[in-house]
Amino acid sequence: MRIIKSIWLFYRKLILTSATMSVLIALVGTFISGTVFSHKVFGLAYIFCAPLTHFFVYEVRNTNEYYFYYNLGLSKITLWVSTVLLSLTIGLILLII
Amino acid sequence: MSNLHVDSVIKSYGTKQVLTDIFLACEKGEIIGLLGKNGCGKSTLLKIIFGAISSERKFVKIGNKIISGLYDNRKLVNYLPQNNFLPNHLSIKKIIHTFCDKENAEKILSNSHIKHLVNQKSKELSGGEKRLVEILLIIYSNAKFILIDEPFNGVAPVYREEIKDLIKEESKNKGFVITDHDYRNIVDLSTRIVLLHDGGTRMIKEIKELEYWDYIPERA
Repeated sequence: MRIIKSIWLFYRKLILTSATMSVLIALVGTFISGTVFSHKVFGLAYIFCAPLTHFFVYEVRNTNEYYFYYNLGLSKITLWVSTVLLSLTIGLILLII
Repeated sequence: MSNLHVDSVIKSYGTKQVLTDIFLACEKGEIIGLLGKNGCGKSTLLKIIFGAISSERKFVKIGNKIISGLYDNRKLVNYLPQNNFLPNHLSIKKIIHTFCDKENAEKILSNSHIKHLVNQKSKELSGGEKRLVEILLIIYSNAKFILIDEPFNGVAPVYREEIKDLIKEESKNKGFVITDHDYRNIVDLSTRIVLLHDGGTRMIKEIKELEYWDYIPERA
């Protein structure tokens, strides 16, 4: 339970930035295609934006924060896999509905 | 009784072999002071023991369990790096409750130096305040062995004595390996001193030996 909670705290930091980027991408898509806002485009963009945000937030800007999660028993690989899986899940849900 | 045993560590950066001849052992109740000049590999050694960085070779064992990576370390070894590691999007209260069990979290939350900071986010704290929170987190964590890299760096002298007392108190239940350039505090705190010199560990029995190994200047 503690591990899941820690992964969630780690991932939480990525959501706002990833979602904002995805909304912007979806809006640009809407503007170019002249259609209505598509949550499918948003979902697809989110799948790529969240790992990209992970890279900039944790690998470039706050590298040392990894140690906090290492101390909770989470390796860098685990954290990356969690980001990809959670982003895929959120993105696919948006694509399916 | 489980003890921390480290040997056969080899680590190179490019063509330079930083760690070659390491032997380190720590038992519950011990505070090992790890000293060494800048760039001698103290932090690297702690990170290798913790499992955060890889090495060409290493042998780390706690009790009968061989530690090869971070996953094996869970609840056994915790590590405080030199630089701030607190997630800056979380409140201090949240961080403390995530890192420690309920009993230890209450101890930290009731600390007079921390009390007024608990509702703030880590990014709102000064460097020294962050360091103080980190030190308390790591000291009160549930791991059996605690590795601390430069605990006194950026901490006001008035807090140093308190930190030393807390480490001594908690060492009844766990083992500590501590490195810092403030060697006087380390000598004062430690039950045993180890000097990292030329890639190897040297057991230090007297301060005079630190002069011999050219770690401190010779006194007249």
